Amino acid sequence: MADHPNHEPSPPASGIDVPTPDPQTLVGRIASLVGSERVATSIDPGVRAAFPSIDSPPVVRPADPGGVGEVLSLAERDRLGVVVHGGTTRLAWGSPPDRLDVLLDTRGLHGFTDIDPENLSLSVAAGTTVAEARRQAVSMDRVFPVDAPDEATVGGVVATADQGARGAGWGGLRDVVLGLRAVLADGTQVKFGGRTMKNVTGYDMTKLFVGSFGALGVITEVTFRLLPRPDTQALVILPLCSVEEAHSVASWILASHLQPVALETLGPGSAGLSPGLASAIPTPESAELLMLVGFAGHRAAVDRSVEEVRDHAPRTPRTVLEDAEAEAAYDALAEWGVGETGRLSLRAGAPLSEVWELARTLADSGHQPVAYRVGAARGFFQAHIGPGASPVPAGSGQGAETSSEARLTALTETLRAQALALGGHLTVTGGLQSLSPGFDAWGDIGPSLDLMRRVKERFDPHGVLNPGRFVGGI
Amino acid sequence: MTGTWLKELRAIVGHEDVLDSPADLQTYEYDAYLERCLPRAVVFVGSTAEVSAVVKVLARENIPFVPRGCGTNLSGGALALEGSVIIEMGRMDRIIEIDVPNQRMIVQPGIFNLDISTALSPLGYYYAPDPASQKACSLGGNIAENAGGPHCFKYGVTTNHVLGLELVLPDGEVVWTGGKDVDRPGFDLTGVFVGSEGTLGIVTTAILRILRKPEAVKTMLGVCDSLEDAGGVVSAIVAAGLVPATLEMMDNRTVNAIEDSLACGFPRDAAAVLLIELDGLADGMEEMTEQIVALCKANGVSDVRVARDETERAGLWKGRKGAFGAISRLAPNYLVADGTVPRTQLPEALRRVAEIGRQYDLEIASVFHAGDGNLHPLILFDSRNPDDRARVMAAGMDVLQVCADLGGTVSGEHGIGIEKLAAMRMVFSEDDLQAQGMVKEAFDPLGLCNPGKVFPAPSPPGPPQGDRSIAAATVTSG
Repeated sequence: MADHPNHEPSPPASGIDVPTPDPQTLVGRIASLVGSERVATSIDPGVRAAFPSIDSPPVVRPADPGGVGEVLSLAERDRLGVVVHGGTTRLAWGSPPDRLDVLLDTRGLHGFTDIDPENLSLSVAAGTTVAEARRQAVSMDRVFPVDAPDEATVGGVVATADQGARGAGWGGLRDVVLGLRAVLADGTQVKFGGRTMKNVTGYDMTKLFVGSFGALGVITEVTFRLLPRPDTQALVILPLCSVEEAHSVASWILASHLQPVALETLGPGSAGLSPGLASAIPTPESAELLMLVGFAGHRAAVDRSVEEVRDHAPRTPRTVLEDAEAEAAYDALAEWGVGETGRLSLRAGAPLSEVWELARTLADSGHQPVAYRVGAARGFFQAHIGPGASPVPAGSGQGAETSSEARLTALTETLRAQALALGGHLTVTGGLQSLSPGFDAWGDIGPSLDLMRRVKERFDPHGVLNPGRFVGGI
Repeated sequence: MTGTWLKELRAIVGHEDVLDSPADLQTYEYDAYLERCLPRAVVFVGSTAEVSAVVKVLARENIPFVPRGCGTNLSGGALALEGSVIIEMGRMDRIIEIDVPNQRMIVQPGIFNLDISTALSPLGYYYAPDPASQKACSLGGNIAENAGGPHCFKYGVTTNHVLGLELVLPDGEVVWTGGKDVDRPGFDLTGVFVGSEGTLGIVTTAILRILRKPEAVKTMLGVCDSLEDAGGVVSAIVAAGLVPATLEMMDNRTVNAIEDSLACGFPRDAAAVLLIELDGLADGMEEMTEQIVALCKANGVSDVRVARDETERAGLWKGRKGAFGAISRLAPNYLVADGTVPRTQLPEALRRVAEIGRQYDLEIASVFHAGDGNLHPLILFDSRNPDDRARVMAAGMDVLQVCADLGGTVSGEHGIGIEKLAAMRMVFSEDDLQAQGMVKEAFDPLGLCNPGKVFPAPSPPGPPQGDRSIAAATVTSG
């Protein structure tokens, strides 16, 4: 079920035979378009970690959308493969590129193009970091509604639709992006959406680009909806002893009148995957799992919510973090799993009440070491899985190697089959090389793939953008 | 010149369920916009299989078609242009599943918007998007238009609540996009389909997000002495960190029309009234209400009436939801403009709209979603007077230009349809339009699905592009 031969992550062999250009010549040509100070051959360590086996292609960091357009036009003309990246925090997601001739680093597109706290909107150049956008919002007494790692770029979080804990209250990226600008594969600059919450002028192209993994165009600017700063924030931390117990508490909260902005559960030992989380949240020795339940809003409503959750908590202590402390805990949580690229990492979604099945399967598998996290209000499951109980000693034979790979592959296939059976999905978000060769990072996404291919063919007929990195080899 | 295709359609859906007599077709020659156009035929469908089979026949014959729900479209989106066949979706109105633990519901598109929440109510849930026409409009149309409503400020619009779709593509193929889970890998085809105005295919099933009904609701009516005051109140509420579910404004002309027809107890002498609704936990609700009352008073609102019970609350909403209907008392026809501006530009937008009214010598009543800067000037006229009509169309375009100039857009929730084709270039470049055209081509390479909508004619005028979807709309005026 999970192993799809339709996508072979091998280099260009299939299809048109385009010779790999000489990197030095390419550097010169790109430099003539965007300036030599914008081209380098040294690769960000984050890129190296995500794609261990790549050579040293030119890295271009355009200063403006015009520069992005110049690079893409050249690439389309010469049928080059351009891989786009921002802060590299999620670069290991999905499939490695089929072809990589140029790395396009968006971090040269930097700053704020429109700042409008009164109308609750903020337009941000794509290479600006999440930390910078958050600071800008805070300085205006507003909330930037994205929980993502500090170093992630806003273009990156939009391209991956990567939303963290408070997505329970804020919604996904598709719900908080009002508009964006992009450069298409032929270098054309386009804008979609706008700055207002309500906008049905033409197709909602913004939605098409959110989560499109750089396959349709390079996002150069994003306009976000901001939120008013809530009166009060509180984060309740509950120790729990089993997946069943966590499932039961989460179900009660979701069926209640309470409106949590975050409802995250960390599996045994998983708090360690966020540097800073252990100091931000008190971790009782006895706790197997930790549930973090966040509220924001009017003081009286938050107090009542916290009380109700504490009353329903099956065990003590029931710590409550307020305001700045809660914010620090969310910040730490947003860094969860960053830098774990070497390990097998999975990200799955399923209907809310059923996502717990995946945690149960992983816990019951006996596989160690594992760290997992469940976002119960949006139906998310993420896991980082180590190579297994029998570590491979250096210089050991092929046998041990194969068995670790076979074990991890079997486990991933089991989890994916389960996610699909529940009506969900499962993506490999890191450590793909620890699975059987050819393992499809995205899995079967169903019959709408044909339609997606048709969209891709219209936007990027020559397969210039992130070739082979997305679903079905798109 | 019917050929065999009509016979084939009758074989699929039953003889009675295909209309082609001129008298029958006249019922389907209009929607809630001002133009008329006779469809070639009307086909009533009852299942996904029927829709697929019907579309396959039409596609084979190269006959365009238009899905139609309840025909409440305000921009001409449901009109059957270019000899289109109407595919009538009203019979596909079943609830397939209510899945409370997963907070989802699966329904067919013909269901009335209001019936969704009515079915959910005993379970303590509801479906958030509630356009004022919710008693008369169907979900399929809401999806096609990405309908809004008076609770968007807090809860968003239709697209934020639609998670999956079963579609019949313009070649008759049936495909699912999205599901009960969120943020699926792959392009968000559900997201781009919602709001595509029936030009990319036909929705046959939808997966919706359902929400727990709030524990408490507080509704109040602010009586304003000027439109500027009302705008100031909205800014103050946002600055205070409050997120009301509703922030709606109606001007004096609208208030009086509502009083004449519905007698809701709105103050006839108010320059404008502001309808504000808070929802959430009961705790803190009284304090937040007091806070809003104080903010209103501090910003020049002369009186704030807080609904004391459900009857009073229902009375206030009856007025708001009946506003468009009540305006019909003032003139035989009206054109509803539907621009959006960044909220703080509302006072300026209203000043310019009033100026446009004076310039064209037209009366304008205004209803607006003040929280999201979505204004609906209703331009009153008599369609029997051809001169009136031309002035109204010109005034409507001027209003949209004002919205575009002030950093907003030309449609907040009613769609482009045929009404605003010419306004598309106020906000989009040729390249922007071409990118949208690529999506159209991917879904509908033959350009058969709801032709003549959304995409303006190519500019500058050039040779025909052979793509029906971007050809000029041809409309028979009625």
